[in-house]
Amino acid sequence: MKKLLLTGLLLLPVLLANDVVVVANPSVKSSEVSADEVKLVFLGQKTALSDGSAVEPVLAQSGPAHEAFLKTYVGKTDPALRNHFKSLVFTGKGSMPKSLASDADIVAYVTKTKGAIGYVSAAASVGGAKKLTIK
Amino acid sequence: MYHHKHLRLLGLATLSAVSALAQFKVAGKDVQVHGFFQQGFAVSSGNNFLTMKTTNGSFSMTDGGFNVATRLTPKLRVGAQVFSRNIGDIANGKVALDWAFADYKFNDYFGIRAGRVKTVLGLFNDTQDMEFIHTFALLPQSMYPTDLRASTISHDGGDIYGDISLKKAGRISYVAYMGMVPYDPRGGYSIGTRDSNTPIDRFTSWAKGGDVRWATPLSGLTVGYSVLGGGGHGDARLTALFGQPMPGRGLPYRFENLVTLSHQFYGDYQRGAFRTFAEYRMSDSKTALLGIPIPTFVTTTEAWYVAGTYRLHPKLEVGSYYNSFIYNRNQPFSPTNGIRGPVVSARFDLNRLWNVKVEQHFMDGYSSPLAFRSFYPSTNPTGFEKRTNAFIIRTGVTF
Repeated sequence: MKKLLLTGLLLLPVLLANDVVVVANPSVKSSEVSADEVKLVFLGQKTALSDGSAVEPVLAQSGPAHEAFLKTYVGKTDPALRNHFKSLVFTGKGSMPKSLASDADIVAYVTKTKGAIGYVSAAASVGGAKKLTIK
Repeated sequence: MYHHKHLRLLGLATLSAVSALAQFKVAGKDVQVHGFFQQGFAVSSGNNFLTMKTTNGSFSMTDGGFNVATRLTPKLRVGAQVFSRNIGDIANGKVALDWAFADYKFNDYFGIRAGRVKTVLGLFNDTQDMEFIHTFALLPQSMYPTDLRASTISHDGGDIYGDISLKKAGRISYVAYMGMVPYDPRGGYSIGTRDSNTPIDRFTSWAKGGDVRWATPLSGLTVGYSVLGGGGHGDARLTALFGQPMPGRGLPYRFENLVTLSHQFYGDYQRGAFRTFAEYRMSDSKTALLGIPIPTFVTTTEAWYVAGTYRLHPKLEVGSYYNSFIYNRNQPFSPTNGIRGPVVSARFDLNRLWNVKVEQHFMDGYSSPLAFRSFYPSTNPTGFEKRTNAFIIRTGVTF
């Protein structure tokens, strides 16, 4: 029983990661990014990927993919992330990222906006957006 | 006067509310407009707190601001924010330029900012006005005194900044700055010097310093160090001596802040809903009074706090801190040499834009009248009590 519980806990990040995919506008050159880059982009601390592509993060407003993404890649709760961006906005050191209601909205925005990068549930259709593999 | 200052704050709040709808494009560039408005109520036993008449209960705790910013090119951002507050006798609702600068980020490792820039000092100096991002209604007053905000909040000059990846060893962020520090004629120093019969007519000061913080390989743990050095000079008057008023406007004199040097160390650990953080600061200041036969005035202060917060529910966060300020760190704590005590707080997030906080402060001591913080003779004319318990309700909205 203990082994089963331990295995479950160890697999939790993997299971969460499998619930969400990172998508980007086709203008982003890379097909894969590191988990550290994803974290820094979604904390507003990095505005370009290591391949030189300028990127602009797009958040989901809520939902299981949003929760899984924050837990797996960002390491902050939703209120903590919003407060982080408010601290940037009200000190002039960053902008508030767009926050969209559904996977379809995110895919549509990412597809049409140069440099946009977002995340959707693994089951969502990514349309014209590009799926990024996390190294 | 009362109506004027509240009208100004109300105007700022209305502007903020209207601007919630104002995210627009100018010449193809996205322009963001954001604002906030905060209102508090404080009631205390013991002493009147932060120049408010808190022993009777006071609503004189209002502040707000709004900003406009845009990215002109992928590397160049510009923006500005105005801020107004009315805390007891402090600030009186005057609308002031809070920050306004251009920021050019060459790459992740190096960027520059020039203009009026919020000063990075420890974990929260640059965000101390933003009650809405913190668990607490008031940040630890030992470290971030609301009444002395202007002395560290910003500088007119420039910053260099950047982030350096250490790969598996984490990440280092740095900022270094230099500039002139705007003096607040309605702040705690102004009120405190007036109360001690030495009102300041003019003060010009400068600051230079920096901050280095290391996001360690242990996820959620950041540690850092800030340093702030400065100096300045000004004109003041001696308006009374041995209880007797001086003739006219008093005896004018010049003073020179030869050096102020603060070292601040901090750590911050966040894991899921739990967060704990702590800071320690020691400051030395040496001031010479010119034209008055008084020796050079030396102060050596020490401040620290330890805090913890936990989000119990998406709409409820609780927290507590213990904070201590000692005016003369070469002497032991006493009611006349410092202020210390615990604080407990609960924050209710009614939605993503609106929160309400309730908070209880238990304060031991009132410090030296020359510390110019928290408790002032003019709002405590019958003398100071050793203990003050203050209950605060504060609500804030952001757009």
